[in-house]
Amino acid sequence: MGLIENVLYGFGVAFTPINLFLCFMGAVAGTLVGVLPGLGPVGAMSMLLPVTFVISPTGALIMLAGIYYGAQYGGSITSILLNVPGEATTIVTCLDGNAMAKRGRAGPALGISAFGSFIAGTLAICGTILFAFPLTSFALKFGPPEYFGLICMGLVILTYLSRASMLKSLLMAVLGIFVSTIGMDSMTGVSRFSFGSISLREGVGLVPIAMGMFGLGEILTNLEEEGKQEVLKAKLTHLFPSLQDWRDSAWPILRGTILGFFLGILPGGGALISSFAAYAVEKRFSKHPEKFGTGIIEGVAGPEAANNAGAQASFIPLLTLGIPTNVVTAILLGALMIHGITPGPLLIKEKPDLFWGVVTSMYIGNVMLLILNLPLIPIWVRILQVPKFILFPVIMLFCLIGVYSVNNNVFDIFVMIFFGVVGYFAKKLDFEPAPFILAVVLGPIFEENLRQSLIYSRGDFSIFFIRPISLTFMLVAVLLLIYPFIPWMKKKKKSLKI
Amino acid sequence: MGKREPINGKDGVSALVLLALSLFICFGSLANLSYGSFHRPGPGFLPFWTGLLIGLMSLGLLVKSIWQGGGVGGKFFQRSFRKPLYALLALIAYGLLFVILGYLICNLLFMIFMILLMEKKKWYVAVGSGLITALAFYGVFSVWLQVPLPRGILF
Repeated sequence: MGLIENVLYGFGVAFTPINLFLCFMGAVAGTLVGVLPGLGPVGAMSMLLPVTFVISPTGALIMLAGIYYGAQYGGSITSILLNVPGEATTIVTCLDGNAMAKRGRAGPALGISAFGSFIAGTLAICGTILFAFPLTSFALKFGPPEYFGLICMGLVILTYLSRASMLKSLLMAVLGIFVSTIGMDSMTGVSRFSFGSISLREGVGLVPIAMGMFGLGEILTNLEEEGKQEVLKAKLTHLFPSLQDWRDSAWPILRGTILGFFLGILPGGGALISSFAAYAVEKRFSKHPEKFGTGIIEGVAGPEAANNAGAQASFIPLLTLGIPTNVVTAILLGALMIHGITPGPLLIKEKPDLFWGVVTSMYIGNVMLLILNLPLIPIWVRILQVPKFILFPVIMLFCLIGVYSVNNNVFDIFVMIFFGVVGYFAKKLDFEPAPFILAVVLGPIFEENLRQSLIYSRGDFSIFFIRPISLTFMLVAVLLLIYPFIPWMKKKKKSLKI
Repeated sequence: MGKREPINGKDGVSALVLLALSLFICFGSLANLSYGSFHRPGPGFLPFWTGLLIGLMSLGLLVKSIWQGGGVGGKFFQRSFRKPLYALLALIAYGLLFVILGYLICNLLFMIFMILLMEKKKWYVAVGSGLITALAFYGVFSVWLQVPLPRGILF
């Protein structure tokens, strides 16, 4: 089948009533969690994982993907109106978005964020379709050393780009790899660190860990904070940006899309990094960089386009290489594995309905979000006023019931509570949970490829450095590891941060 | 000028906890699992190396925390620390009673406890919200999704 036929086939899959419904549900749920501070797409996706057991893998992925990009739309609403980033990916939107709202331009800020996200989403999907095939052929050349190198590079990039100290993020990543080794060793059948527990012999599940750290951990932290929510009483008129606004935003949207797309493909990348990088780039390109932060539309358009493009591009490595590059796609990999599907270079061939259906559903989801979100903004704002004393216990109950229903095992509830406490303290002690979760998911692939490579090379570690692809991955990883020790490079990294 | 705190408390404590964990992992993997060799790594190979790396990095963190100083950097726990603590106890109780009482009663009790804990609401508000939530969960999980959840003493 040619590219056009594939895309049409994908639309055929995505347009079935059930998939359309799931796409809608995902997009709406995503916007909702994007709007609500304290619960991100990762928590929401893990909470809804049990729901996906009763639907097809394609439908499950369509819904979970909808949550991810829906959250990018939703997060910007609270960033602009309340100066509260519903999502980490929309932190930079607060800077100029909220300043615009305070100057009575909340409408155009919300408008350009929605249109910018839509345009970026559209272009990113085209990019995904074009890039998927070459990347798949490239991935077919991968053996265990290449996969090992890719995982090392992904983990190091994620820790390098994390907001916490790199040492702490690396610690979290290594801890995650250790946790992934708990349970039965897939190569020898030996039980590791299970202390005689039958449940631990099966390993520590991704769902209880993710729900604990991103769901419960967040709620426990929020329970401690006694902040009162302030809702901006700005009039929401003129959601459509003016011609001048469009003129000012066109290039930032395009630059944000391209930047977001390529950062999204990179291991460790995704929506978060893309939005920060786009803001820095716009500031550098601008003729009046001093105005950034005072409420100019370029400061909203660039990052908003970038985070959506990044969110969508991060599906490429997952679906073509089988390697999640950030924590959200790690959860998606977990979901696919629960359905008995291991994504990789052969996925496009073996499960075309899943690949093309999911990719095209993202476009449909973006259209839905554009049509629905702008008129629904007042409702989203009202949802923010749901009292916390109802919201937080309900979210906790969702986590409790959800985590139990995965294996019908009470043990998972306690695992989730344990990781909830870990997540709570991690936040207090400035340790980032994202490298930990990514490492937990990648751990088994990491170990398998490391051991296979060493067996193949008879214990010679040079196998990772004599093959060109793995050498490239390892070099990037090593360079990033030594980066913080080189003072002038450190300065450069700091200047990229806002 | 204030006195310089000799150690960054947060990082220092984290480093010590992680150091203890690394020792546990290293000894646990060497004592109970076969390490194998570089030629043929055994099940204890990766756990041992992760333990060692955690140990080395936590030592680095400890040194850094002493080097930097800075005390605990403000209050570690907020005034309302009791809320997450009580919530944690409620979660543990939920896990313990889940199978015995069933999810409906557990949901109801959990909601009532949390509402009374978080906001000093009237008891009928808490009971009402608890009942509505429990019924909504019943509708979604048992009727719609047909998830097999323990019904405990109710059925």
